Amino acid sequence: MKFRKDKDIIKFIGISLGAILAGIIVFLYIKPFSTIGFLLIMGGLIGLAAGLIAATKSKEDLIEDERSVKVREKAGYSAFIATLLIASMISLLRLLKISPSLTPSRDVAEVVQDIWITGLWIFIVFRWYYNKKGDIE
Amino acid sequence: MRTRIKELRARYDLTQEELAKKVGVRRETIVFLEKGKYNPSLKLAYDISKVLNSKIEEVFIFED
Repeated sequence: MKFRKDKDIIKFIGISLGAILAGIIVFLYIKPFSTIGFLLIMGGLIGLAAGLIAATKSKEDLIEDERSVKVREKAGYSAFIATLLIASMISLLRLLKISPSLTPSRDVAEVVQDIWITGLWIFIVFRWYYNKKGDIE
Repeated sequence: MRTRIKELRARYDLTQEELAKKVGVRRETIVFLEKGKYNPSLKLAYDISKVLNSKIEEVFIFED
């Protein structure tokens, strides 16, 4: 397998490795911020994996074309609907108190409700905006 | 929808990669187009037809 070694790839992989290292230090030695450390490690790992995958592909394979944009939009829309459905189910569980073990705490339920309302409003606003705009670039 | 991209590409001795580069898309997109698994935008259909010196309806064939 051939790896590209151009400046962008090296920079991206370097930043990812830096994030992992910083995350490990924060996670192990700065206890009050251990969550941030964990997030840095996870972000760094995802970045590293993405960088390595990108390094195996030619530059032309990575250009944004209409199909990749459509694929991303479709995936984003599906992810949004899935998030709303999961948020609705969690809210419903809390409302009906079906199973105490599955019922989220008050804090979690409030956050989920906020995500649900914010997501829905942003969706409505964006749909209106893109509908007005058309899609001629 | 089926396309004659593969056949016309061969006529002009173009690889998938070369055609992709000429119309500004990924090679993958040309692969999916040739398999009939992707509906291109009117602009992309026009660009491909132009590169292949054909009319859109000669390259992209819609069957009822």
